[in-house]
Amino acid sequence: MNIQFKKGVLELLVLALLKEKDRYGYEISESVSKKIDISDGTVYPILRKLKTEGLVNVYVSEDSGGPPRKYYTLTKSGDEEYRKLKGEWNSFVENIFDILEEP
Amino acid sequence: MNKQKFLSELEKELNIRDIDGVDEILADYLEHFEYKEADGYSELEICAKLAPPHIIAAQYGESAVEEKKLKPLNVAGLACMGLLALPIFAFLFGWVAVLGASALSCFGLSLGLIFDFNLGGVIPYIPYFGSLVLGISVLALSILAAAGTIYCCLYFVKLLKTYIKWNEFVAYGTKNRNYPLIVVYTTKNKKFKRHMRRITQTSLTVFAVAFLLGFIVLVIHARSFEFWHVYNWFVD
Repeated sequence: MNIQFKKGVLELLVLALLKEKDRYGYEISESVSKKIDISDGTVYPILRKLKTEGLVNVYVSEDSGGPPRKYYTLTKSGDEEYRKLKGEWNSFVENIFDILEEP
Repeated sequence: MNKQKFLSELEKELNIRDIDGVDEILADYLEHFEYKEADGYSELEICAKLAPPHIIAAQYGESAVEEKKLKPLNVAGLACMGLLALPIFAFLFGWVAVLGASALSCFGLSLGLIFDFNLGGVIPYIPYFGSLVLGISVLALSILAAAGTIYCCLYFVKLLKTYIKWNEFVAYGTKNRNYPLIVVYTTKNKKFKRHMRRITQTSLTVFAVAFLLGFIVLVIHARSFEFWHVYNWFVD
């Protein structure tokens, strides 16, 4: 798959995964890697960028008996950004389909 | 490439690009390796699937291209804040010092109780068996206090580091701010956490049990619930 497609949509995917539930870094990385063929570890710089921009928050939590883990959670502005990006992606894909379907 | 080489390469590349919070970034990738290894991958396989260190470092650097220029008004404000912050941090670390001193004095007292020597006549009359058991209880208390000292010290140091980082961000008017997490126990030192937890739980238990036992022993020996009156503890 074209690498430019993949890179553009990664941020949206991370936000979408966090919209569903709070997750820790590795969990997000694996979820994305399962569906899209990208290098591992591409997710971590994105998470940091999202944190810097205030779109996600971090907290440390531990499941009983497990090691302490850094969990990421969507902030209010993160949720708004997610909706915005999702809308942009959907219209983008729609427009592409329009062009591709023209004979 | 193996894990060690990858991480040291990554550290080097991040430092070349003068990126903030290198420790946290490395901790993320160390954690990645650990989880992958737990899933059965070898170090070589993990490294093969990871992008090369210089590419990863470049991605972190993408949003960090900012010119560092001091803002004099901000610095003045920070200096004023500092006047407030100074006594607060002095208080926090003073507390650590107090806790540490308590640990030391409890330790000294416990030695006196256990080995039956009276430093400066501070310890009143206690029949030896009671003294031994109470001594053990105070020894456990001193270990508990020492653990508390270590924990508080580490926590306040992190607090101080974050405060300093905030000062740096405000002084330069940095837009993209990455603060270190204020937690004592991280993925990097979970073994330390396990030890601390075990030490705290054991010493708390020993303290409680020995204290209760000592109390009971002395009550039996003095044939009174207020054995401190029988032994004339608070009489000049």
